[in-house]
Amino acid sequence: MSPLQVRQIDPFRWRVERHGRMRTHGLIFADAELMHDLEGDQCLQQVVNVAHLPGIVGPSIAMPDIHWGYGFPIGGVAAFDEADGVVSPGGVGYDINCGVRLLRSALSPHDVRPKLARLMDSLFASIPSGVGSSRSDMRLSVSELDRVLTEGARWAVREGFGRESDLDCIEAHGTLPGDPTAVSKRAKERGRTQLGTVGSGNHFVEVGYVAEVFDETAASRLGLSLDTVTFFIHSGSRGLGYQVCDDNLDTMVQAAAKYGIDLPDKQLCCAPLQSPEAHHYLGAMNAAANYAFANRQMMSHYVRRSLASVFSDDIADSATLIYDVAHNIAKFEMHEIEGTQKRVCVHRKGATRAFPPGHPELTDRYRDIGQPVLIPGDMGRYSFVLVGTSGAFDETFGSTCHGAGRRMSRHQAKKVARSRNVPRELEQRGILIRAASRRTVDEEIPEAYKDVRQVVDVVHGAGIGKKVAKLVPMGVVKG
Amino acid sequence: MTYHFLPHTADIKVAIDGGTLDELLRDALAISRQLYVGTSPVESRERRPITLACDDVEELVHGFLRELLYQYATDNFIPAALEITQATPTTIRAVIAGERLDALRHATEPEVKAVTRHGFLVRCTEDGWHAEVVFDV
Repeated sequence: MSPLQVRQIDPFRWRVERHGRMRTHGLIFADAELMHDLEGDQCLQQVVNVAHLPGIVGPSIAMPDIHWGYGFPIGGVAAFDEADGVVSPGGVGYDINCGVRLLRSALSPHDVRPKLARLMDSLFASIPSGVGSSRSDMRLSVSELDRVLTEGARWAVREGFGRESDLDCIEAHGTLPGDPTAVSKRAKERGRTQLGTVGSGNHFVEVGYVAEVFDETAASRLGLSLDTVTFFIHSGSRGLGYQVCDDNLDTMVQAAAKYGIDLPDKQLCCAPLQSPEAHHYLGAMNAAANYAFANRQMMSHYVRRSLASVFSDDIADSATLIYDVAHNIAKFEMHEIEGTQKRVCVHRKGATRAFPPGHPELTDRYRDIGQPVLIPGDMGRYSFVLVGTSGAFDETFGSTCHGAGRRMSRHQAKKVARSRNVPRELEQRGILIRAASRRTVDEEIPEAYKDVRQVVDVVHGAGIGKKVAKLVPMGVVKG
Repeated sequence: MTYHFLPHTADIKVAIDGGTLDELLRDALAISRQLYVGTSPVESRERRPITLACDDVEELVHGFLRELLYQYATDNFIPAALEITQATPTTIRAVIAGERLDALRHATEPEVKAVTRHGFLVRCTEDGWHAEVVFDV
């Protein structure tokens, strides 16, 4: 295979011209250094591969945190025409509706520091983490699980895990049109005891505070003034979502053959959006997405409970949800395509929705500033809050980056961390770690990740996201 | 033990070799155990029968790995050994011996989400059987 010809358009954009059987071009957001790091990486070929899929509209897009994924790259965005396009589980990923949510509190680091250890212990005790973590206080019946899969975060609020007002600040109000009957028995079995758990790997619950404000107006609207203590939750649909993806990959391999879809990579297996296979996958995927929305909603409730036990009920009441956003999902949305409004299925795999000011889906309180966009970094440095822009809506189907992206393999990170005591190192820097497994902490050392600032600076510079605030961690619960 | 890790930035890629299909399956079980609990000793306290019939050997080995993961994900069941009654390129009849996860004796590794199909292969070679698999973690 000849090396890819990637042409720089401006300091933040690169283009792969349409060639061979590509149906569109590739558009990559990166600065020169990030692009240099990608040289020889298969993820650029994956951008090209996605451009081969039927019914793709606009370019095959990659965000600056792009890295290799199954079929689609992680950090990839692609939209497909409702009439003649496709849906692909590889364009969503195993962890369906993996996403992040951010809460703010009425506390400052000065208030939290003396009680930080107690707060971290409480969070660690009340939000199970680690492999196969489950809640002993929550084993859902089959019918109750079906209600979670249908109602998402709304189910959680109705059951007392949060407030009605939380729902306004969740993408799609925390409920997508899920079909529990499309979710296999195996998937349901994997999900029955995991609701309200954070899981393992790069998932976390983080206590942090606002260390820098870039946009006073937006930050003020979000309630993120300097020194505001925040809670970041990163998790998804747990074992239920992994199983939904796994089940449907089998179906989609057969569907691609059945409908004569010529795939450059089997992992791009897909089905026409109008086919029964696509309807089945979308029903199951949305059900898994609802599980993830309910999962994060429940964890917010346990954050508030920890605040009540360590501080007071008033402080718990002050914990306000800023936003909850998915970064692994496929959704039907209206976008302007060559001057005409069209309903397209936007795949975001390791990419965040970033709707602009004025978009009708935004809650009134954010309508004039744009949708909050939450970009976690690693556990030792910082994370960012951005807002969506009209630039993103015009150019990337209202999408932007989702995180830092790994630069070291897990094996390599463990080797680097082997002779060190990473929790103690972080503690010396004022960051308390509570983890179910030392191995996870070792694999997640800060230097295993790229600098998220660089990623965020690209999307800000390119106008597909606008920086609002920087958060730095004080404590992290890991799996 | 005849498996080794191959370079992969985000996930875990493994090559497995066995002189016979039985050995390949036992090594596949061993790598699964390592990905679940590292080198923690696992005892054969419980025996669970497994029967699989597939169209080809790739589906068979993939199905076997997925079954192990399902048992671990839903029931915390860690495999220790494989007692094979019959293994052909399209069928397995065997018993998986192992035990439930015990937090006091087993150190868990980061969660395995799935046994992917990316680059998945099983080949009959001059030396026996060779498989490559990427686990999503």
